[in-house]
Amino acid sequence: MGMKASRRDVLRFGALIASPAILKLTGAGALSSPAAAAEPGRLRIAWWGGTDRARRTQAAIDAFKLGRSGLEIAPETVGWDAYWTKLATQVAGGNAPDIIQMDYRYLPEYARRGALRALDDLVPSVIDPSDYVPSVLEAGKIDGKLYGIPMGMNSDVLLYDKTMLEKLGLAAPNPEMSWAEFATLGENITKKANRRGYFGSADPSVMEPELEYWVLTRGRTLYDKDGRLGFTRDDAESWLALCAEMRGRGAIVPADLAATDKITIDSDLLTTGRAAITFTNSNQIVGYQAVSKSKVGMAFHPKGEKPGEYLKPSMMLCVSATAADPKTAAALIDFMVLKPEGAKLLGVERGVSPSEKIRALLAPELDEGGQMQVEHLSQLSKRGPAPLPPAPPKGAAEVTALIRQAAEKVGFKQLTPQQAAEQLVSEAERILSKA
Amino acid sequence: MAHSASLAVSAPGRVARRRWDGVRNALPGYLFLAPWLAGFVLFTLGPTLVSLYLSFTDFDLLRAPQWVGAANYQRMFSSDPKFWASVSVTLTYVVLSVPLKLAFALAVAMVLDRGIRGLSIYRAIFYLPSLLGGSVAVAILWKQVFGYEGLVNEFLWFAFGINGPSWISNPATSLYTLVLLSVWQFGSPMIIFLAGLRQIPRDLYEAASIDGATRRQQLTRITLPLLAPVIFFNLVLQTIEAFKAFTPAFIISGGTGGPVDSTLFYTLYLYQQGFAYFRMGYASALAWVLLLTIAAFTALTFFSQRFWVYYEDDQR
Amino acid sequence: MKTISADGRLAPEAIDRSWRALPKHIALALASLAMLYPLLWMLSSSFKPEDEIFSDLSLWPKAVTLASYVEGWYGLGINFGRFFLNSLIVSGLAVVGNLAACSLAAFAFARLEFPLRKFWFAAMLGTLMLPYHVTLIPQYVLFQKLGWLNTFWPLVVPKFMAVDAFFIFLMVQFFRGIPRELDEAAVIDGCGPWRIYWSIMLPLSKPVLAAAAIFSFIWTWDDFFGPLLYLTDVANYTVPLALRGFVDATSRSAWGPLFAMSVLSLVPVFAAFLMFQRHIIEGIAASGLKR
Repeated sequence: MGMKASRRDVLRFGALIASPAILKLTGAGALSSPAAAAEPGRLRIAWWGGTDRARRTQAAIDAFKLGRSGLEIAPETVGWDAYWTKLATQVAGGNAPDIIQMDYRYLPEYARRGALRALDDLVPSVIDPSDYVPSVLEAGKIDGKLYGIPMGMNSDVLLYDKTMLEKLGLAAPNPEMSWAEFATLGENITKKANRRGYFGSADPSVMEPELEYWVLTRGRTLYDKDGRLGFTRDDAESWLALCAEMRGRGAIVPADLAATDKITIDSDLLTTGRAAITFTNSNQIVGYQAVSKSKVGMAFHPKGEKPGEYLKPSMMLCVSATAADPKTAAALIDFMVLKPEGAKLLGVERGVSPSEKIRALLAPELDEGGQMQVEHLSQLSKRGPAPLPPAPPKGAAEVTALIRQAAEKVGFKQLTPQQAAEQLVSEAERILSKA
Repeated sequence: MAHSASLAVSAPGRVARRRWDGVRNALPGYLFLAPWLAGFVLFTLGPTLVSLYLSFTDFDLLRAPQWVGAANYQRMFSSDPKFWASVSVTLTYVVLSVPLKLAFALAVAMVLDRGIRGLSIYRAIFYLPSLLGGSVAVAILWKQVFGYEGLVNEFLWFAFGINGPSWISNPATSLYTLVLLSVWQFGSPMIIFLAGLRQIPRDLYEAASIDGATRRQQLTRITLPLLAPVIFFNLVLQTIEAFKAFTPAFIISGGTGGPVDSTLFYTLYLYQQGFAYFRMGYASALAWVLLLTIAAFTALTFFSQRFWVYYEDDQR
Repeated sequence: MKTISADGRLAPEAIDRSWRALPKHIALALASLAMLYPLLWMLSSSFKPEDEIFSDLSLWPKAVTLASYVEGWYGLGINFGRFFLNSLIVSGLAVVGNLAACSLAAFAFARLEFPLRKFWFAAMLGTLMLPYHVTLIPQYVLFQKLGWLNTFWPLVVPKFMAVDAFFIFLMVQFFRGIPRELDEAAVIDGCGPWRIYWSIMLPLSKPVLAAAAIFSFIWTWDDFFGPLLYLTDVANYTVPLALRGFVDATSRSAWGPLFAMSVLSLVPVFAAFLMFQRHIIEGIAASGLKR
């Protein structure tokens, strides 16, 4: 039995295969617009963020373009998670955006792999951050070269449910509070609120920045200058034991609630009404307040022997190593973070400016969340922040996962704090030695 | 493969005829295959081969890959406990979720096939969970059911006075809540089963009931045998999908695979390695091990066909 | 067939109207609730003020506001209708491409004899087994070299080349369920493969084509990774990409608008489902195929 293909069949095939050609006729925008690539006269700028940030950034871009006819600026924006996948793909594909919003933790990864352009030759001629808080500007440097211009600064803080504490008749956390007092406060909240599934505080042990705070107060750092582990088993063990004790007393949430905290604003235990206290970056208070019915307050961590809170960039702007016109890219960065006109349009949405001049300029326009940030950070400057720790080395992302894992193993009683600390330190050392 | 049904006649004395048929038959076959073949070569083959090459390199995404031989594969099997954790999570998930989901989808498809009013509405509603995928709304629902104050615990408290744990975020139980999630999102196999049921000629049932066959006999003698190719398809595809499960892990842990690696799906681990830890070479090696594993499972399933799948076009 | 009317619905006498259907309905209605819950939650959240969404998970909003819909529709600087149009174009073309290209390949695999058939079939299945995360970057580079970034081409052209093996395999399984006597008779009548494909296979495969259309539309509509990588200009965004523009885990997100637009974005998907599912139901039974 045979099946013959006639010439007509072949023609029909041709028609089917060629049918993408009909797409051209539909005239939809994306079918005809040219590909994005590094070309002079055209800048691409990428950032993560929500709609408010998009609106503000777009306004600043438009203002920047006013004086420069013929300059085209293409914005690319998505939320935090997707941003890093997209950026990694673009950079790997040799198609990085010219201006890249960068997180403090990812800066060394990209800078050390040669994806970013050092900006030292453009400072101060194009960008002049001379009135920046020095330690914050320092955080934009990797191996002595400046790669990132901080857009705002923040610090690790406690956020608490003000309304709830007032209702329960408990005093808000004060700056001189010790860990013992913190534990008692947490316990009292849990007892007085007396609601199934409601506790004093979120579990700080699953969060890497909180371990960092702990080791800083003990005079150590997460990582040393050479990219090795900067803390000891003893540091980790005492921390895990402290949290285990607080968990046992009901001062912080049990492990199965801590596990639902994905370290995002929407899953945070303060947001979901499971705890009265949580830990986060100061600039995120705006996001927390927006989804909370209660008044959210900001406080310092329980005090340690040494200072553990430090000023760091909330986010930075970098220029890609492949940028065709780094000078214009740098000028746009300067416009957004250091020129009054651009900085006004961005506001404090990305955090309080590290520049004194800009901070003063924006002061009268601050809303409540902004005022709280400024107030808190200036208090921190007064009481003396910790020095900026060395930039996280390659492999730090994996260590962050290990820290959470160790905390969960203690929380679910699979390991004692001592065993978990031992495992954490030895595995972290193994990862860092290979990276 | 039971794909041996042939148009070419294969009597031993007609070799010459067969060869002629071969040439003549190759043309239409390849013409029909042309779009796929072109797409395969253009879009799929290249990237696939690149990933195979990368699996033998150290590739951090940003700098040129460095050849490291089989080091990635060695590391996986000798010194990576997380790899084994993810294998165990994934195998448990495959073994539990695939049969449950298929059985559920088939049962619902039979109920929704015909016989009562409002079927199209029910079908649409039952497909809804599959539309939502791994969205925030689904995560909230799962928390509402299996969380601290979830429905399950309310029931336990009400009925037995037991204070249940948070099932969704306990390492001992979290994976099972994700198995249930997968069963709940049974829409796609259900639709395929429905289409399969519709392909069974009605007159077979009419003839059978005239012959006095019971409903049960109709099910085992008509429905299941004639549906076998479709069951087979769903089995193969759902197994592949379950091996590649990625989004469910985001429901509980936001993609960390926690608590304590209890939801560390294989592809999630692979994704972490590639995009969070910048080890695309290792991620590619993980991907190829997964490919070979799935291929082995699929080959076994194909082999098993000869015992339970009958095709209308089989010439037996 | 007698019990099935022309539009594929069951004739009234075939429907079990008696009290025996009642328990079935009750069971189905209860099950429906479990299926509908997330949608209802989303719907209710879209009417809630933002500070109530996560702190109070109940289905009944304490205060109802339409602000989320207004803000959502204009929130990204571009009218949300633009994203719907983009998604419709991409998804619509994906349906056409998948149905045409995959059914051709499936016909070859199911009915034609040619050298290396088994090899190609295995290769086709193999493409289903590799996690896409490791081919993202080479694929990205490929489309970049082709100059297709920031266009719909990378999302659409592969569909016309049957890159989605799921549909090929699905159609193969259904084509093989069609009795071979039919095409043998057609060959005797002098039909070539094209006629058999076009006049016998396709008409008899309506249920599976409808199922494939549903999946093509919905999966393309929901696809996030493809548009994320290939579309950079906001004006070219598809709906899921635009939806993600509302939320950011680290700063202030627009949750209300997210849920409002998510609810709206289900409408076309649902419509597509209802439209195509009629054809699944018509099925082969209605065509009166006798063996």
